[in-house]
Amino acid sequence: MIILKNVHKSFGNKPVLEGVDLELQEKQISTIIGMSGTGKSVLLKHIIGLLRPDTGSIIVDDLPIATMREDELNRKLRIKMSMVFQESALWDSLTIFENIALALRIHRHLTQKEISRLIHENLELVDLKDIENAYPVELSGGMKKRVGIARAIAIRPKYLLYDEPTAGLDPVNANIINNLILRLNRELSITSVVITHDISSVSKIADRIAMLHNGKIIVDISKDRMWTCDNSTYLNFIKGHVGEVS
Amino acid sequence: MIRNFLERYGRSGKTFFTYYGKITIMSVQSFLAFRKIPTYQPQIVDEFIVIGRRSFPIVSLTAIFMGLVLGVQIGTQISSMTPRYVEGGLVLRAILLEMGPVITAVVIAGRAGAGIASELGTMVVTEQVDALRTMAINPIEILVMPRLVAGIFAIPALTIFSVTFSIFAGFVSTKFAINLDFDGFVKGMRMAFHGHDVFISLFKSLIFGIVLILLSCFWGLNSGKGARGVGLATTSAVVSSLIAIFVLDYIISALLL
Repeated sequence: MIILKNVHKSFGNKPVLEGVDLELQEKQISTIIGMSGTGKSVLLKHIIGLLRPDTGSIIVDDLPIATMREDELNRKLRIKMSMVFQESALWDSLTIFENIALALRIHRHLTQKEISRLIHENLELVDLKDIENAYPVELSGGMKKRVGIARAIAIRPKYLLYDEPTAGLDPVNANIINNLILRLNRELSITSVVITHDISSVSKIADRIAMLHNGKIIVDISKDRMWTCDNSTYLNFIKGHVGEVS
Repeated sequence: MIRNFLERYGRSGKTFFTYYGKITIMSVQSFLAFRKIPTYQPQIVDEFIVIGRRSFPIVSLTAIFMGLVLGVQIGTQISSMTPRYVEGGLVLRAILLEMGPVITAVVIAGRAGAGIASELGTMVVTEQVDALRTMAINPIEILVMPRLVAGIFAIPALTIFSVTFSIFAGFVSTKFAINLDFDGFVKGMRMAFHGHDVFISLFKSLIFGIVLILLSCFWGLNSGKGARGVGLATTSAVVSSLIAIFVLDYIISALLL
């Protein structure tokens, strides 16, 4: 379980998170929505320890990660949590095989044969094959996203964080990614946290929906209340009345 | 007015010491990461190829023309009262002690240093460095340490080639400038040669190599956002490396010669 309590974060004089309180349940797909620039990605980076809050606490499975050193985060948190980046963040000097193999080689002392088997298995999970020797620059946006997911699940994480997984994709590829998120959640029991402002994606994959607005979580509801929640800012946002929200 | 002056220079001083502190911390972490050399052997080999083998043509070309120019310059400056074989010694010492290590380091700072800073800067901007951290891979261990190890071996090795090519080119141009034969050139070199000059030359190239690799990595990893940020990081890497090379050259020369 992931618990954020009163998390504040500013960059220079600009406050981004102003007292975020949120609980993310295990084995669910929690989506965090909000307008561009509200700090959704910043929030996600706090959960995996890439950023530290100015004040407040973040607890992951009883680990107070906001106060842990980098090496402690590596040993205790990042062995069970992975992240899929908005632009995939594949290492462009490495082949797809090496992109997925790198963490396995460094953290698990596996033979080359075992690594190969795991990589094939992961690529099959995301419906990709015969691309092991390609470089990221040779792949389409949708394929890069799927490789990013294959890389993230290689360590079989308990938690998987997605930063705008469908951003920049056409509806067909966005649908493929949504199905993949659902499948990984159901088949591998991965607790997923998805940052998005794609409402069709939310309606398809979410178990819970939280909305970040003006540095705070203003709505935290289950999927069945998606269209009946009475918060006007939230309703305006999901119905596309962006002007009224701002 | 005094307050403005103090604020302005105080801020500059603070920025300088902040950078100095960050570079020191990164340098210590990089040397501590040497214990992970066995894990990152493939990366070290790759970097050795990038820094060493791919810099070889430009270093060789620069060295040859440096030697040719030096041969002509010294040849035309030597008076008729000076024995001609002296030029062999002058070329040798100028190249071995100064030109060889300094010019090689300058060329590598421009070629490999700029490449390192822009590559790491792009990795920062495209979140590839963050991706490493989320996979519990220390960016210093995989991005800085292999380059540092490769630089420690590649840059002195390139300096040896550079000095050799330069001296040979120096002989060729001397032959044309003052018609000094090979035996005379070698005689002059033998008379001027001191064993510890080789040590000083390699020591300089080692220090220059360590400093330029660390500075290039530092600026790359601290790149600002966007193409402009990467461009500025690359410029800072090259400029700070060049300044460091010339300052260190003076300090080492003053201490060891």
